[in-house]
Amino acid sequence: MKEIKIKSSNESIYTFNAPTGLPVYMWVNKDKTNVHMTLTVKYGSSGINFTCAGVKYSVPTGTAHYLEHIKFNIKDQDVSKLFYDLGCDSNAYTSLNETSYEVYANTNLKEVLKLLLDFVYDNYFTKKLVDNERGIILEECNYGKDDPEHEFYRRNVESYLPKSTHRIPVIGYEKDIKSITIDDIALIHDFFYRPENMFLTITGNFDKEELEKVINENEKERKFKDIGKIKINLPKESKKMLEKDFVIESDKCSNTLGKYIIKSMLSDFKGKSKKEVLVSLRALINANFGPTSDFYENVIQNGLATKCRASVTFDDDVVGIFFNVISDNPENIFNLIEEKLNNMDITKEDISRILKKNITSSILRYDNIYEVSGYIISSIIDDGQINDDRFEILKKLTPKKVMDIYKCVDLSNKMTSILKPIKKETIKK
Amino acid sequence: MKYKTIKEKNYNLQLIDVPNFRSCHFALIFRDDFDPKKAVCYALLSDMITDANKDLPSSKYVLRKMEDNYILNFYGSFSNVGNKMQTYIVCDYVDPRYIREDNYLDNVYKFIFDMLKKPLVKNNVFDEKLFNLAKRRLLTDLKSCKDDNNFLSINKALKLFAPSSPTSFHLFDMIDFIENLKCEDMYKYYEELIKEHVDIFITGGLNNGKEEKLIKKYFPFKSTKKLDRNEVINHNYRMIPIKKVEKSKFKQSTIVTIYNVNNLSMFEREFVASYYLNILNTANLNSKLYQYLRNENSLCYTINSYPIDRSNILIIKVTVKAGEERKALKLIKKAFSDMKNKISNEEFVRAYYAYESSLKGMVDSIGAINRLYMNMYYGGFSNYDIKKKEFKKVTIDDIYSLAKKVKLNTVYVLKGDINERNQD
Repeated sequence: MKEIKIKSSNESIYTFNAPTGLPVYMWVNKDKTNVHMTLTVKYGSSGINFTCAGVKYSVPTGTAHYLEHIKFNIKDQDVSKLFYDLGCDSNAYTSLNETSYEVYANTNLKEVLKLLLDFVYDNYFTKKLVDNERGIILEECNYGKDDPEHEFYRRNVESYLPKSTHRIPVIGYEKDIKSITIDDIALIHDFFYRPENMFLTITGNFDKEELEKVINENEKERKFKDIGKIKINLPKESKKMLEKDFVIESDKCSNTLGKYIIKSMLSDFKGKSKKEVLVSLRALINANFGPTSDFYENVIQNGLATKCRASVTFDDDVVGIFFNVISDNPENIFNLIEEKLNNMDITKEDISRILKKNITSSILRYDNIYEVSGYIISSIIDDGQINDDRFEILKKLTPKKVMDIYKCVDLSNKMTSILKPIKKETIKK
Repeated sequence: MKYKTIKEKNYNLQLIDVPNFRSCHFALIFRDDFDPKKAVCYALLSDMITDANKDLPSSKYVLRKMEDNYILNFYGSFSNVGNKMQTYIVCDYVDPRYIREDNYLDNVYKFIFDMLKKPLVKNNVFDEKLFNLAKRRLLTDLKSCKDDNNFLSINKALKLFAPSSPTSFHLFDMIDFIENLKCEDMYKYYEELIKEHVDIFITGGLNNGKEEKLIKKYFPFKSTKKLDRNEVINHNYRMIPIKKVEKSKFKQSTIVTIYNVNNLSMFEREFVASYYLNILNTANLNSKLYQYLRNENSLCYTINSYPIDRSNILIIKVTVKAGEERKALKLIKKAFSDMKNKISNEEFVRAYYAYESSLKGMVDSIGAINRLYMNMYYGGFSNYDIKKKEFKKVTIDDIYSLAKKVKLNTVYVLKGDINERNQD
């Protein structure tokens, strides 16, 4: 077992590979009472096209999520009931890049762990199971459709990422959900639910040597057919956005919402790593638009907007700077954002304050066993490993380094959008 | 977990010592009997007095101060609980054991009470910008409630159930009053607020009485008003349930049913009710409601239950396919009826383990520990050690007996539009 030191919080995470090659990450805290276990598959909703041993495959949108739904069955047994009978709660979620199965337990840890590994690997699917679940998933799909904000968000994503499969809703499109078959589900289970494409996290109060033994015992007999190299084919996203500006009017919303998006590609940043770009831009955006900035104070205190949030995100190689606004006059806020974007700065004091805030969050993360799991999962999915790189980059950040990175952002590659209520007079007409 | 109550002239202090966390949770609660106009003003004040003060004239300065003091959260909030209303001032800060800075804890407590005692006021009038900002924020949130069919359905069902009771009150009902509220009106409400009954809860690793001394040093108000702790409102049973169906443009239909659960003993409220709810709904896919509506009939994705302990009611909300309302209502009725005499041993054992597991889960969450002690203090519930013993005494017959006290009072259906649905 290897120890990974997390300097920012003075914590240790232990890791080893099971006989099947499944990576395991453990964080032990004897002050806690409970244990959180997650078995994560590095396969999410965006992987609809893939190649295996030179053969191309594709599945309908929403297949990863559909599989997650019916996974809680093994040989006509409801797995959530089995977990319940062991005194623990189970759940699962699908996101763009991963599907995660989780249990929260404080008793029968060995049995719970065995069941978690067994049921996720198990490939029991029947046509009846698949058909029964369809109605439920379609209801889930309809759940957000009455919300105009949801539709507004969807149109923005479709425009921001016109080619990437990250634009597709995790649940899939309704017509595709209707077409998913047992073969689609079995295919992705066979290809992706394999130890080399998964990892296990265990956080909380447990004996790590004891659970290591359980994992090794459980995994040593497991055999997987060699299927060759598998690759998810993600379409190459272009820098262009589908729409320049748009306005949606709705009779189902009461507030006016605005979005201002700037899109860049990682290649614009001249060899800088994802982490450097992300840490630098987040610091800069926080210093200039965050709640402690003069910009925010002006916009909020003077009543120009009720809410104004800025963020920086990564989708594969796409870097986005997002502004979400609630304001009666979002165009006015867009002008102010633009003005500020052309006059950005950051001081040493700003960086040291952001660092302090990071230390606070990093210390408090370890109060919560879920948050530690979440931290491990996002590190593995985003960076492929657990380390303190982001914290170390932040510590070494200087105003010059930040501004050099910011100079690479093409401010002209932007999109604005507005969702506003239809005025009553308009409805009468 | 060590628990200590200290009664001071101006406040009651509850110290909950749990040293296995890295954060500490501070909650100061101003309490008063329910009053709708005061409710609005206290909700606004909870925002205004945590957003700025005389030394820190906008949120920018407050947030910078928080960052300097390793404070994660500092905010105000408001809620009405039974026949009382509570205005909260909350602060989450890093346990002093993890911070090597002189006077760290002193600075945190000075910050909290400075915010409360030095509001941004000139000549007894709050700063106009600050007031307008809080008002705008509140109105934006309340107006967005209009767009949420889940909120609307529950709100309408509660209005049908008890139109003029605090149980059905929501700040949403006061939009016109808020719009007409003047900045000059606020200071008198601030003066009233600081005289209300005050309870303070501190949960986390405590420092040999240091917190107690700091509160004594910095608590600024003469809050001598004393209030009883009884928050319960009783609603009468209805011989024939009231029912209302309204049409909407939404793609799905939302069904809300409200049940009276009167005359429960403390044992039933605290222990049996959890078993009951688990078997009915909170065991998710294994519960009766999920079995009937989702697993067997694919009618819905989620089913929510909201037990309102202080009003002795239970609310069930389910969003189903438009056109399937009758079928769904029939199945809901069947689930409730089965709770009176058809509980399997398997369901019972599962509920037992769920209770045991939630008790164990509680001790890993500082928020849950804080809520446990608030429920002890205000609701008369047992402490952790008693809970651990007493929940084991529940029997299936206890659940049947409670189920017979659950009576349907109100059915509200917000009917979805089948044509809207077919457009996709």
